[in-house]
Amino acid sequence: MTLWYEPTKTGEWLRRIFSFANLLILFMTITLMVSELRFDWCELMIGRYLASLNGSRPETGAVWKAGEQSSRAHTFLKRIIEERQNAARYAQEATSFAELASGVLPGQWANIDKDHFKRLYLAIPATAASELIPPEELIWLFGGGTLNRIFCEGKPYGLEIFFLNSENRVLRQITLNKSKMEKIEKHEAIFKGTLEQIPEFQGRIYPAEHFFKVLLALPQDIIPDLITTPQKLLNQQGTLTKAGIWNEATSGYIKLGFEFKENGKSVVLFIRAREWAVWRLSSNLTGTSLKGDPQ
Amino acid sequence: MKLLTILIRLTRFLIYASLAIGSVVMLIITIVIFSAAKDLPKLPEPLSRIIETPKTEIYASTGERLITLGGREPVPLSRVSPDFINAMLAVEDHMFWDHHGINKLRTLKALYITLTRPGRIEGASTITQQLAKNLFFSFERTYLRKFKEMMVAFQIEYSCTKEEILHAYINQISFGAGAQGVEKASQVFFGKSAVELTLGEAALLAGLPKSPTNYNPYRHYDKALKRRQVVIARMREAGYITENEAQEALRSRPLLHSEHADARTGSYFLDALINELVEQYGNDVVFHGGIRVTATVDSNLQYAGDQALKNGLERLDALMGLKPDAEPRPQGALVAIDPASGAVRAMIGGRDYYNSEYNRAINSRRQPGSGFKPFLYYTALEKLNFNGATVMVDSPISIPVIGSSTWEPRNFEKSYRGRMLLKQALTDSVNTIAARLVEKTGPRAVIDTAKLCGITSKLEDVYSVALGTSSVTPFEMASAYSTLASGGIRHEPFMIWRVEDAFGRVIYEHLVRGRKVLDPETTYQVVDMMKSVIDRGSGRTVREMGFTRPAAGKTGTTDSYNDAWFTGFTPNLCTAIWTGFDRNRKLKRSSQPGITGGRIASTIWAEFMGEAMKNEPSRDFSIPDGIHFEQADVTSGCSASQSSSVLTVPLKKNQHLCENPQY
Repeated sequence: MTLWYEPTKTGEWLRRIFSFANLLILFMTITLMVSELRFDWCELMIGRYLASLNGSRPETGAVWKAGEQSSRAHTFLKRIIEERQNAARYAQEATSFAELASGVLPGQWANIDKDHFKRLYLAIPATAASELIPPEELIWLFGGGTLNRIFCEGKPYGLEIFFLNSENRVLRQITLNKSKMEKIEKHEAIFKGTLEQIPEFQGRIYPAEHFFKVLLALPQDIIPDLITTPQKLLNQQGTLTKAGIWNEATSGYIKLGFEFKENGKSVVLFIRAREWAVWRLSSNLTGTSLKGDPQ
Repeated sequence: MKLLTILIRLTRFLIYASLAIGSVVMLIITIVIFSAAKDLPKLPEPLSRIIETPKTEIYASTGERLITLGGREPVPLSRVSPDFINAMLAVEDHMFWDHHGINKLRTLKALYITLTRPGRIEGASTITQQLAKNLFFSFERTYLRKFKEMMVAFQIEYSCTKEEILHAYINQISFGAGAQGVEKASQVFFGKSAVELTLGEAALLAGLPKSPTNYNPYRHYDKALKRRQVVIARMREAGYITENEAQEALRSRPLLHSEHADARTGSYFLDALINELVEQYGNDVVFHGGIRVTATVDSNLQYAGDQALKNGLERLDALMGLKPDAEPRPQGALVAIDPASGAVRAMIGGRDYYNSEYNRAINSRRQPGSGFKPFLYYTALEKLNFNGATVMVDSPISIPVIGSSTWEPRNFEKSYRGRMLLKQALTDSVNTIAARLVEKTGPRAVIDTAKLCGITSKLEDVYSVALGTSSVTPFEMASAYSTLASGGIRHEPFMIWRVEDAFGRVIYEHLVRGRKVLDPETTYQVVDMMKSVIDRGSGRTVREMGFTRPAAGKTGTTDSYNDAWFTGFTPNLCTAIWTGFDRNRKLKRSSQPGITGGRIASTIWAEFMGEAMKNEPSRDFSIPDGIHFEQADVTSGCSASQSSSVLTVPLKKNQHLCENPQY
């Protein structure tokens, strides 16, 4: 049975089949398909859409995993290098063997300059220095021509110091006991009495107030070279009454003395300050020593 | 009319249905794309980042690069043979330059075959799709994975040029045998760089990625050539080569690089070194950290050791009457250490690495037999103030053992010679005298000496320990004898000189630290006796083979002929050799004498040391200041008369001939 909307004549069928709308739809469909096959615009559209989302997508997959492994390795190695660099910096800036031993932690290592080692060695009392390594041995090590570098390895008790030749062979090994060095330096750092009782400070003793006024007026970058171990002074009980400057330099350092009074008793603490910074301080302290002697 | 009506209705239905289904499918695809897009993996930018993984390099002490780990060496397209590029395109994706991610016709064809022929899966992946798969996806074969891979391929095509895609692809694709990337593959298979590949070689390589295991030319050369035929045919069809070129390429048989069979290192030393690195730094740093390691191995010595061991074991096969294809075959190990530093110069852990990666040098514990005697003799000389001229008696001995049966050691020759000097006793490896010595010193003291020298294995606190009944590794023997070679200074053996990061900053460096563990004078006295072993004793094969340099050593053979050892040294190098079967089997042919350390192990030692020392000046052992030499009569141990047989013995300041006789 012919439906009410269907034509009854063949001509009418053909006219409807090949109507403009049908032909247009057909043409557009074919055009879309052919153009897609020819120009791949679907792929390009999807690719462009995905590219726009790239930044917000997760980093998953084999290639990112390999990247994570590289990243972990890089982090691990970076940590080792940073520790090494820190230890090297502490070693370079150490002003005493105790500081050197504190700066190079167990498991770390650092090279130390020959001249720097000499300065630290000469700064400790002769008996302690001899115990560490006899001076005649050190003379031969330094002067004999085979010593290439000095290598410090951090240990729980302090440091092992290795004197190496160019083939990394240990010529001599010495043990630096941190607590022993600290005791030596502390002993060296305290005098029970007043500044006036120490001849080496004669003519260079100042009231603490004036000393610190002048010191604090110096440029900020100089002060750490003067008060190299502030914790010593901070830990001391009592009132700071006077300060003095030692009369000679040793290995680039000059001793400063700080007199503390507590319960009627006086003690003098010593700090090693950089020579050039002391000269700068001294020139500003001119004409104002405790005894009133001109400088 | 009726028929026409039906036809038209049917046609109309089909058209509308197709349009509806098509629209629904497009809608579904669009929804899936939008929902899946945000979970797709991120594409690295730039794409070349995927191939930039730093490689770890290991160098010999002699400067050659031994191996790279982990990294890849990306090469630009200009540094790759055009034949290879054409071959890859022809066989994997001949429409590469034209499509934008997928080859639609090929995909439709593959889909049709997959759907209509169950069990047959047709591949149609383009190079871009393969790249996407390798970068991000597992090898799970699901439609979803394929769909995601396709989408990522679209993004790669959109974001990168064709050259960038091709560059990434050829530099990360796996060719098997541990070769990732064309440059590595070219080096592994042909020992040349990618730009030097001939057409025949390029076509062979291009055929591998389809199935690297099945087409591995080292294992299946004929299959690889068959696959190459397909590649060359495709190249011909695509117009990359002419018919003549194709025929010529088919006729060629590429020569494979002999030194690489697969992804293994090929070296016992490198395996041990890599294990140590991984223990110290972890897998990530070793394989992905781009570190640079300077090892202690001398590549010339490593090669010499490998050859000497191979040659020696072949001689052993002949002595044992083994046929060429007989299994099992005797094995061996060689370790060479510099006594002045402890640096491991060579390490061979077996006769053929590719047959057995088991490293006998460090993992195999075997009884050293008489090779243990030097530790006993040192102990006796040090504790009892004996010397080489001390007279002992070679006769049957029974030593009661608390809680056990009496110990009655016998000599190798099963005969006894009466009075003899201690020096002669070690030269001829007399067991009864060794037993008398350990009875006097106690086994504990001998164990302590061995530990001081560098033996780390557990040693049983029994008398027989002096005759080498406790098992040790060849590595330990070389390490312990090195202490004797260096005059009593112990250097811990090591394999790594230095480790640096990718920027050359030092992460680790070895310090050569010696520790005096033995008395130098006593050590010299023992070394003097050991020299005699080589000059006149059980190790004299060394001299018979033409090795004339000053050297000291000791043979070792277990009672059952399970193990044959020789460990010896010059002042410059200490080497331990072990031979034997992995499982309990004697080095003995039925009705023939067993094979001793002096018969085979010492020959391997002589061959190796001859090659190792050929460019070194000859040097004798240093004589400590407190040593003087005397001529002792071989029977009495006293000063020799003109007519008597004599032995020259070194004595300490407080020692004299003819004192402290032990008979």
